[in-house]
Amino acid sequence: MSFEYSKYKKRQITSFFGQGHLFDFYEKKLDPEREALVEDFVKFSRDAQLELETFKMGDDYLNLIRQAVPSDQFLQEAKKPNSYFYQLIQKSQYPYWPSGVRWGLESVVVIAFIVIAITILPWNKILYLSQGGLGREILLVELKKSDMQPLTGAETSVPDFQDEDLEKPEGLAASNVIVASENKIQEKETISKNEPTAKTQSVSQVVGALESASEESVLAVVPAQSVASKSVEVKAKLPKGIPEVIAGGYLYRGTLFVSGLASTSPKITERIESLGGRKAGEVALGWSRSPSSRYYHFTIPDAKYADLMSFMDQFGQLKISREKHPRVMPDGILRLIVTVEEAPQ
Amino acid sequence: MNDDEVRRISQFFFLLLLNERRALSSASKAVQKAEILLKKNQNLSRDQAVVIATSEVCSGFSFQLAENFQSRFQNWRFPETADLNTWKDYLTHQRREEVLCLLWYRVLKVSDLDIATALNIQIGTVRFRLAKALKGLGLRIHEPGKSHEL
Repeated sequence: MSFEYSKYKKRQITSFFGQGHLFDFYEKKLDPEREALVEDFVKFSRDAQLELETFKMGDDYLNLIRQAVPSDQFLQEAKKPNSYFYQLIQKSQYPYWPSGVRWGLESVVVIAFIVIAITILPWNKILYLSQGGLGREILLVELKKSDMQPLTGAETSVPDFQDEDLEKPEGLAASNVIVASENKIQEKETISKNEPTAKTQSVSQVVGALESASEESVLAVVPAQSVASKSVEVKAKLPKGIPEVIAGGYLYRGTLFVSGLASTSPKITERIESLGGRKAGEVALGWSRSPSSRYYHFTIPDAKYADLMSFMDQFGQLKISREKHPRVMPDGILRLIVTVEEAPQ
Repeated sequence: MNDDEVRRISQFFFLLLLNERRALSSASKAVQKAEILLKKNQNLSRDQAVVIATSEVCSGFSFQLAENFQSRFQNWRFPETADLNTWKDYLTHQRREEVLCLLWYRVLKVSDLDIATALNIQIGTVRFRLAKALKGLGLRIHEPGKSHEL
């Protein structure tokens, strides 16, 4: 490849090349050969000359405005940090505030931090951990399912009519306690494990009257020895504050003294059942409360009452007393509690 | 940063923004950033750190250059023959990267090689921008008020 030189035998550059290297020519950063070429270009190019003049004018102007001098205060301020907090302090002129105001503001900030810390920190957990954690637990009751024996027989069944008014037998650790609760009375009797447990009776009719009652009432218990030949009327004391008008039903009570209790009792039981009598409490008919006593708590149709009385008369004199009771029986059904005891010798 | 470097950085931002408050804020930021850059990178030259710091501060500008032009200055003294209106007009119409290159080259006295290294661009790009910036300034001075689109 050969290059053609001009008629003057000189290497020439194009205007594009010359224009592109004009600034370097102005700054004198070209090598000597190129500088000479660009210089020749400029001699014959009016545009290049104008451009060089504009460079010079711009440069002169820049040199003029570069002579702007900042004040020492400006320089000092420029050296300081420029954070937002610093600027806020500077603009608000906080260091020049009265000392009382500054102290007050700082104390408010400190108090705010303390209040936030107190509010956020879980003090309960901290105290709990500081007191040793689990070591402070107190065991109140411990029950094991294996130790619990299910109730059997009459103890487990829920009777239609809960037995009641069981006379307190001799020698047994029994206590009748009525605890007045907000909605019902519960009569609880705890006896030794050899005796069947008596179920509690809830009295729905006395709900309203017992709302304010907080007392305990104890049933009047009449020992067996104090019972005369005639039936003794045993009245259950209703909890205080309950008027009798609330009791809607009747309970028939009686005691019969017989000779040969062991042989007589089954006959009585059989007769009651044949007349349509059914147990009304938890215990079975003729429950042996003591060796010399049998307990009959049953219901019988009203029509059969006379037959029962005539049957009982052949063993002894039975007098029935009627008392009011909150427990209401269906129409035509009577509820009786008859205690058959061995006549004293 | 020494006093001369702080003065040059202050001059740079003042001529760029023509507003004392903004210039002070920007110069303070740039000084802090340059000091941090020099601490982090020992291989960085002071000129390159200054270019990087000022470039980062300028990239955060959300306003036009010389937007809040002040006609009077409290902390700056100018030669009486200096006409800042021409400079304001130049800043408004010239491209920002060309103005920045010109100020780095002429005000901060940073070489084109350091500018190219700091900005990670070609040196030819720097010289091209410088030529255009200087030519645009010259034309605006030669023919003020006339549009000089290059």
